[in-house]
Amino acid sequence: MDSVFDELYRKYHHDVFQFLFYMVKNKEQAEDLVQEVYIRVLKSYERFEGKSSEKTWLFSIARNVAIDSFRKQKGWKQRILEKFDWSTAQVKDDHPIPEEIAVQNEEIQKIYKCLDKCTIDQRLVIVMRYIHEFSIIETAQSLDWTESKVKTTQHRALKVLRKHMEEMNGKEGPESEGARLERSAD
Amino acid sequence: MKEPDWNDQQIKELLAQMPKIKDERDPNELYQNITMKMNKQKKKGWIMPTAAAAAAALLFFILAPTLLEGQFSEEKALDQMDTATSEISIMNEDSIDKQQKNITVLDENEKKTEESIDTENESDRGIRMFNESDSSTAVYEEDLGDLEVLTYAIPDPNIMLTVPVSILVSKEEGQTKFELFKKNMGSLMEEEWGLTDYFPLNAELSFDEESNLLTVDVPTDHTYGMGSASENIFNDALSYTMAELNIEKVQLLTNGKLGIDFGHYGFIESFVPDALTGNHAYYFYYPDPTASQPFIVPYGEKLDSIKEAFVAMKEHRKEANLQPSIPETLNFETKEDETNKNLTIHLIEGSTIMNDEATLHVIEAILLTAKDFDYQTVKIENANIESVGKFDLNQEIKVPIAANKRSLP
Repeated sequence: MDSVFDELYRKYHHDVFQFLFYMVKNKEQAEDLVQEVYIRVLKSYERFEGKSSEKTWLFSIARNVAIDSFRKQKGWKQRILEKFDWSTAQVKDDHPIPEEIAVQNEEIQKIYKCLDKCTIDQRLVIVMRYIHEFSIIETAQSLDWTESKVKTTQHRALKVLRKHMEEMNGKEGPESEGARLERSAD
Repeated sequence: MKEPDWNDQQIKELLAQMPKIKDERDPNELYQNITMKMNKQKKKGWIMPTAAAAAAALLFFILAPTLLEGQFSEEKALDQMDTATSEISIMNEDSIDKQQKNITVLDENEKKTEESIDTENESDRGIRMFNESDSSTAVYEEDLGDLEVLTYAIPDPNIMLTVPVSILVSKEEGQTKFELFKKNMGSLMEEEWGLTDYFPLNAELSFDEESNLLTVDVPTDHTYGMGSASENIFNDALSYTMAELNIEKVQLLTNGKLGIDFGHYGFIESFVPDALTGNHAYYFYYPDPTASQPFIVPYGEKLDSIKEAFVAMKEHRKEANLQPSIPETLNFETKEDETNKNLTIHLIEGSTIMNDEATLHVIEAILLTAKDFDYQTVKIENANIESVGKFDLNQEIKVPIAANKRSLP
């Protein structure tokens, strides 16, 4: 086996795989994508100059692979689904929930679903910062963003998640509001 | 009951509790997959180009016989296109090519003077690729169709002469020729044609059809009075314009006030142009020495007879950078039929002509000169060939409508 592959596999394989999984939420797809990451890495490893850390370099490739897969995926299916509003958004998540998630508590399952509400950028930041516990600098390097862009994007992403978590938990709020509106319409 | 709002910290904690997801595949299997894929991609890299190359080679073998056969006429057609285009600029390689080809050609015209080398090049080109397609320079009846021809007098870069340039434009409902003339004045590509940017005139032009009076109103800072050359050119330009539009009189204004101050001629309020058109000899003018297509321009004083004109046309008018339009070796007698407005050119023994581009331009110069002397048709007799380009020598040839056709973009 190639020594570069061997080393990268040992050090980062599961992290990269997990990152890709939380991006695409599908294990088979993540398996394909991780292969693509290695292909790109092995092709360009000589060009890795050590300017950034090996880890952020690897993740920047993984991020590109993930984004490319979204672009490819965004074919007919995505386009049709985008026409529906969020009330039908569950339909979009047609991948089976993997066992690892299914055995978790309700809150985890909910937040796993809520990841869908984030934009790709937001999801990238959420996964890197809070699931992989990257620092802001590491995230910025991996995404080739400025640190302030990481901060603002993570702030917005948390807001989106919070909002949808609340919506999933308590439905009374919107309902009672609707009732008030009905009354005033009388 | 509504649950308490989520805060960022709780969300972060939840995310941190997300389960680890592992790739359960064996690393060896994974590595195998990867190397396989990489090889596949590499293969993709050469299969397509190789297939394309094979297809190209196959195509070449299929087409080669036809290509080789058609090469001669192909070349002709290409060169023809080259010369038929209204652009004067011809690439340098082309002229080098001409020079080289030239070496192999013996022409009785051979002279040391620059201009005859050029003419010789012309005939040489002609031998190689001349065919029936049109490389004529003037506007003929058959070109006209539904179009209107507009002729502008444009100065050469040295302001030594004015070149009449004709464009064909589509007629527009309710627009007089004057209006078309004015409208298209700004679209001329003088510099691209190797001439001086002159139009649109720095003047407000208006035309009263009833009184046949053209009013030219120049701004106070006009430059038409700067030196005799620019005055002459302005005079020429106006005269041509007038001849073109059948204008009898021009009223000159400066900023709305009667009269234009021409330093040389003094203060002029109006003029009836001495008809510039008429009784002139036409010469070849090459703004770009490598161009194959000349401008055929009238030059010099008015002449008493067309015979004088034909003699003059063998001269090299160095002062205006004009080249003879009739080769020294081409001799003929003329017969003028004033009633039928027909001119007969009888070629003398030994005056052989060729069906090439250079000869075509010579005939055009003769036709334009004949037109200037008011002839309507020209018959060329005793020619050793039947036709030159579009001209059927067995027939009377109609004189052109206008000289130097150029197209607008």
